[in-house]
Amino acid sequence: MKHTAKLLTLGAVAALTLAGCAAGPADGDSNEGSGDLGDVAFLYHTLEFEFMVGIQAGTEECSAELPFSKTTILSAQANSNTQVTQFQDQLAAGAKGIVFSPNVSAELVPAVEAANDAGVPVITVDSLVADGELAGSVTFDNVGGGAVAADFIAEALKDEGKVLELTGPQGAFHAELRHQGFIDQIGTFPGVTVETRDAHFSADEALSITVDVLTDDPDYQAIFVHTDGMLRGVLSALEQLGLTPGEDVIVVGLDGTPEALDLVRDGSVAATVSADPIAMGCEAAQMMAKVLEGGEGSDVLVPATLVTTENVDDAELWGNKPLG
Amino acid sequence: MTQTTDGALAVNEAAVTTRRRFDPARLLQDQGLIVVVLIFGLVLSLLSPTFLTPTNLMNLLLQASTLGVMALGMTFVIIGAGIDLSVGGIPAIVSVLAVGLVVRGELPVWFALVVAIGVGIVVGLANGFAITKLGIAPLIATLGTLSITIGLAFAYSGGTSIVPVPDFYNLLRRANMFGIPINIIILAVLAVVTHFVLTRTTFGRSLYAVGGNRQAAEMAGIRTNRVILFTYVISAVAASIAGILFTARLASGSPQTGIGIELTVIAAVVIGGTSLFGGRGNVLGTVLGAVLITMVTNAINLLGVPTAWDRVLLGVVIVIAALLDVFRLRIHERWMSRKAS
Repeated sequence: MKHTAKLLTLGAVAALTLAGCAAGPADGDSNEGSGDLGDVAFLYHTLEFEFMVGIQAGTEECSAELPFSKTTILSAQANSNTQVTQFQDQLAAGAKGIVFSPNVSAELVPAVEAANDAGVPVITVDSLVADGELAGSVTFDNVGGGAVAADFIAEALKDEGKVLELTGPQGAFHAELRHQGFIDQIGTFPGVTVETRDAHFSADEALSITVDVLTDDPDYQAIFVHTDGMLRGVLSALEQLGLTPGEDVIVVGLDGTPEALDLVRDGSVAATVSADPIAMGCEAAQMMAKVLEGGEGSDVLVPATLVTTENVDDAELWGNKPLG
Repeated sequence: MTQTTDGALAVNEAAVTTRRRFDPARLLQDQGLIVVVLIFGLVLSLLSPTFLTPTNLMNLLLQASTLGVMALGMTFVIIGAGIDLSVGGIPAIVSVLAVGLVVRGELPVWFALVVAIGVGIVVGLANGFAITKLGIAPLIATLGTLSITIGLAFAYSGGTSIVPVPDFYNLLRRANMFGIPINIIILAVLAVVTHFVLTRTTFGRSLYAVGGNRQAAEMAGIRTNRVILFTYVISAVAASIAGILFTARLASGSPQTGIGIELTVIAAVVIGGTSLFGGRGNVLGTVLGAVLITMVTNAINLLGVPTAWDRVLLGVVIVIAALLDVFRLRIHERWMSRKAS
């Protein structure tokens, strides 16, 4: 037994010594390549759905051509606490710039402030933060997206009819802006009325709300969902109700995911609004490079593109590009 | 001086050894985990030039501190052969109340803190009551309170985080002593207190007895129900403190605070050598367990490992740590029997 104890002690001492040695020369590495822009971290709140994978793809594609010494891309798995940890780790690791999509805007303010204190510029993608200083932001034109959908629906209904709007959670950044854009624009068509319901961006809730609302009043001619992920729920609901999408009711989505484009192709979805995440990821990386080179950041809005059967095969649509 | 209270082992040992003096070799033998932490640290320092920087090590301890506080509370419960899943819900209800009562109810901060922690204690009492008096299995009873606390937190807050937080939380987030963040100091103080309670008080000794063999403890005149009930209250208080620390960390009263952390807390305790069968466990192991788990996420963040792999890596580390503990016990037993013969 004494041997085991001795061996363990020796091992521990060796480990400590080696660790000490490793720290010495390695510490100097942080200065290497003085001409370049340093390490940049991209902290995304999740990478578990296509839109965010699109942002990741754009980030990777464009970062490869920018003079960063290292790019790190992490997912917070939809957990604010994890995202704060990632901020702290990256700041400790000496990141020179942080690009991130906040999990919950208010909960990431301390993280942004910590970066501000460390003099590390922060750029948000996809959303904004409630407080703290940003060097810039890249977001989708959510208001414009809602308005494009409103125009398409009003035209399809020939300025007359009832629309069901299924939203994201009340108070959520994207949902508020999409709703605002949609309602304001549809207001310019006096013959069109809108019923708005909170479906929490959930396909499941979209399904039950659609069934309930259309059972109660079968007179709806269009359904607008705030995110393409909800389309499946709405289509299942229509099937359950014995309604044919495209004939009895037109369905319009937003995001322009590969799945939504397929649904536009087969005619079950009339249109979706494409919000190019690949361009957003790329734009954010380029803006960070510009800021680190001493330039100014800005607040960029990525424009909305309507996708119908006419342009659904356009190779420029992000939903038609391979991701990653 | 490491822990001497190994439940079943302690009985044998008492016959063989008298009070131990400090002995580094002995410490290593008791805490195989130190070796794991050091080896893992060595590997990390070779892979990442940042790992061993003072900034990162301080950052690592800061991140381990909240998990560590919760794990200290859980150590009591698990030594008593119980389990407490509700620690994944208590921080949420504490967080929304501690901020909401001030922001929406216009009550003073101290009062909101008292109410919030009070609610946490009520949850602990409810757990203890359901388990000892109603005879519900700990896993089920605390699964119930886990769901109830998260549900109440969402209902109270309306599902969104409550902001802005009172200045108290911004001060708490930035507070430090001699450059050491207050969270680390809180963990250190609570660890010392926990060690003292476990090893030097009647309650502590009773707890090991209850966890090791409840019937025997009962016959020896220990009020086992009271001891077990108390462990759930301690765990709830620890989770409530964590709820306050999380609130400061995110500067919001969020119903998502601490969601999903219960299994990580249990993992930290079990990696630290506390037996899920009860009767065995110690403070140093628990703190090391929390540090090791935090090292895994730190490593992933520093090395830019694709995030999907972090759960895999954490799982592998848990299994290795547990395996090491099994070896350690085996060696220990062989040593005991040799001494006895």
